[in-house]
Amino acid sequence: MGLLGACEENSSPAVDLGYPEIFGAASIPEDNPTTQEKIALGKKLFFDPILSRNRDVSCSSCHLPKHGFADTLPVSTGFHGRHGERNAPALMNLAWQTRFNLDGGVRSLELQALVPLLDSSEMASATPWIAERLQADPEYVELFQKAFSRTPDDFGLVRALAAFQRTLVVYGSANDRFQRGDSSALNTAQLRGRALFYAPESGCSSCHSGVFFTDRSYYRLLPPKPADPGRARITLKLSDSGKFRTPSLRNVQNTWPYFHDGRLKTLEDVVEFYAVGGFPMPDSLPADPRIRPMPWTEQNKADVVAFLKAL
Amino acid sequence: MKKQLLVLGLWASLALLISGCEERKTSDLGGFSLGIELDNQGVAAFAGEPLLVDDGTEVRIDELRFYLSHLRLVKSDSSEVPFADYTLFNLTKTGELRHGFEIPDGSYIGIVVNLGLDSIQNLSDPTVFDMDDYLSSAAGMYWTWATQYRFVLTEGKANQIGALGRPDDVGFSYHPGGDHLYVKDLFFPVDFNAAPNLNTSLTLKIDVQKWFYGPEGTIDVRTENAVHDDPGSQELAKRFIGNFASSLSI
Repeated sequence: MGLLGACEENSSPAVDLGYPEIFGAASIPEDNPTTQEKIALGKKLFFDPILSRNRDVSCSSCHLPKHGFADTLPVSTGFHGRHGERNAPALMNLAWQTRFNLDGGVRSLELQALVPLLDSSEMASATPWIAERLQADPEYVELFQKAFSRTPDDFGLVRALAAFQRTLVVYGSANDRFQRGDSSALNTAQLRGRALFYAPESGCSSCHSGVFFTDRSYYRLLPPKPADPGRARITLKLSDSGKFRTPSLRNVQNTWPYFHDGRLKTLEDVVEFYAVGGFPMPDSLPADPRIRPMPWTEQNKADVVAFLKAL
Repeated sequence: MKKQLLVLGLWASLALLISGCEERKTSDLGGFSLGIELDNQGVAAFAGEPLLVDDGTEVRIDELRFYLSHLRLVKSDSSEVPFADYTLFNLTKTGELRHGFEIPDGSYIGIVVNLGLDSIQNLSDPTVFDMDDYLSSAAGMYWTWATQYRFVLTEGKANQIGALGRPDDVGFSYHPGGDHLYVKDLFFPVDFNAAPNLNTSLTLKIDVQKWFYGPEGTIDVRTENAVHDDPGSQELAKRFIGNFASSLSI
């Protein structure tokens, strides 16, 4: 029974990724400082289908770089054409996130990597197989040695993937420039939308708050499905059924479709959803009380969409 | 230089002697092994074969794995001797059907174990363990999405007597886990002496009928056939883990 500690860690210096100051301190575990070697290895692994059971799905099959590392399908297609229950989330700004999966069940970015690897509807793989494959590849053997001073295994695999994902940062939007004092960064429609977004009566910014436009809390917006109890799967409280974490709105125009099951295709659909007060809900499990009809005109809705596209 | 080599040589010889003494001491320990066997009301039962669990139902166990933790032996003076932090039994994997342990010489009257993993073990990062460790993800017990472990994993089929194997078999899948399902201090009376070169084999029998007709209540395998870590199956999870604990005996 062997414990493999961080003492085997390669001693390469941690790199400064030039994170935006406004984001605050990143959440990087002490046993996995980000190094160039880990980033290089993690990037190669991220795009390599070698990790999946049939060698036909890579992380990037469902987390498309062009779309903020999200998927354009409501639910992605995995092993043997299987589908899960949830929309693949965008993988941006994860260095500042502390709970993972839309129900918050996973407590580190490193351990999150095991979820798609082992899920039977995603990569359907197993860590011994993956290690065996990687150990048979001289290039991977060399990269693991450089990054972790060890042969390929799940320890290095999940840490390298996490290191690479911590380099995925989205910042510098029109709204960021506006926040930094460039008053011309937002056009008139976006400014009107911004005012509506932050108006207390709209409630948008009460959940989509802070620099990441998320309070990282869990809310029920849609009727719960038995197949996916959401946050309740973690807390085991029926009252949490159908609750999912507030997503960040940064780069949101590129991360369609929307909501945890990808049921809404466009930002216009999302704004309409909120404007009409959401969908009918069961009495026993109502939507969050902030979901209520709003007297938004068509112009108002278009303005809010314009602002969202500036995030 | 020669003098330095001589000193090094002497130190190396001393080190070898010391390590040799340690090895001899280890081999002086007594040994025993603990294995598992399926049982059905006192009759030996086997994975993959039909088991009659009541007047109308047969089940077939295809998979059974479970963790025991904080395993200790009880001496005749009631003192406890820990012999493993945790172990995993796997009914369908030869190497995990029986485990051997080294223990101090003495007379033992009981074994005490906990079913499942304690809250600290349950929070382990599976990637820091060797692949052959029972807490690694290779053991197939780690719930990636909840970052904790299943305590028991059993799967199989059920049907009416004589009908098992037909397309209308009902699959069952009980995967209870979570700190609230940890069962502490299961005591099994034993009576054996441990001494060098004396190996005792003990067998933990698992009475499958008690899973469905145990002290925590009846489980109708044809309708109550899935326990996972979701709120809807928690009452069933508690019933199952309690019944499973009661199904163990030596």
